[in-house]
Amino acid sequence: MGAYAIPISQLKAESSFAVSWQEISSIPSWFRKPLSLWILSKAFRIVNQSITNEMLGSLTASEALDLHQSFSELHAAGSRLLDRLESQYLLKNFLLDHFFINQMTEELTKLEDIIEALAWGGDDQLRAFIDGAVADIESTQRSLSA
Amino acid sequence: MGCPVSVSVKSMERSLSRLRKSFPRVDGDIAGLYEDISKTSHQTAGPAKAVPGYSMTVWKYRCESTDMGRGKSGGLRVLAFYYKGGDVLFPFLVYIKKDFEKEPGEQPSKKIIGKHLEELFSEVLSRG
Repeated sequence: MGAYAIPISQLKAESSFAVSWQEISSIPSWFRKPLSLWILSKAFRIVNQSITNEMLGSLTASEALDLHQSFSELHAAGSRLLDRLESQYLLKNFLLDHFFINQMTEELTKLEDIIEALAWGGDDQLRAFIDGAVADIESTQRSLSA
Repeated sequence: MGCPVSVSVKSMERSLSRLRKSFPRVDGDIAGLYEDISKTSHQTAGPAKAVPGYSMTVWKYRCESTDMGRGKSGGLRVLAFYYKGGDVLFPFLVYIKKDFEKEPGEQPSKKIIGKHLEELFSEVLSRG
């Protein structure tokens, strides 16, 4: 496992914490929804800012699969919340004239881009195939320039 | 610094010609992405995302589709292979996001990717 600015375990923990908030039914809905919006937005920002190309490029197959699962759940929770808020005019106005909602929609799109990259990453067979092909290309180039 | 893009890859050309039937402006859209990559970098244009597990050799780009009028997020996806030795980017597959997305973020299967990469490598090797 590689060393990242924010460890994978922490990203997963942030993600599942944000998802679990939506399911707590003991908190009144009028309070839970804006709070969920804030918590989910925070989780999106952490994930989107932490997952750099360097990190994506160095993930192993199992790490990629692990994160794909966590982030897909986070994405689904965000989409669900936005759908619910869509039908609630007063709550939408309360959320500073859609400012927070727009911001969250933007973060959700960024997260989706990361999930796409994680979707088929890290296949060992494909990796071996690419490595072998690159070695072939390099050896052909060497023999041509010799 | 920008990265040269190889625009004559057969598998890319085939996927483009398939899309041209429904999206006549796809060539212009892709040309815009290539221009962005060659002016900036294959690591930032698009915005680019490295596909995990391949040592930053396989990249995914989002590209706007003017025919769909949906912006980058619902538009075209371009997969490319970056050959470090020659500092060249080889786009090998373009598709519409919704073609493969049954669940959010779902992508072409590894089998499809592998097939296109295999074709790309044999083409590069035959060029020498």
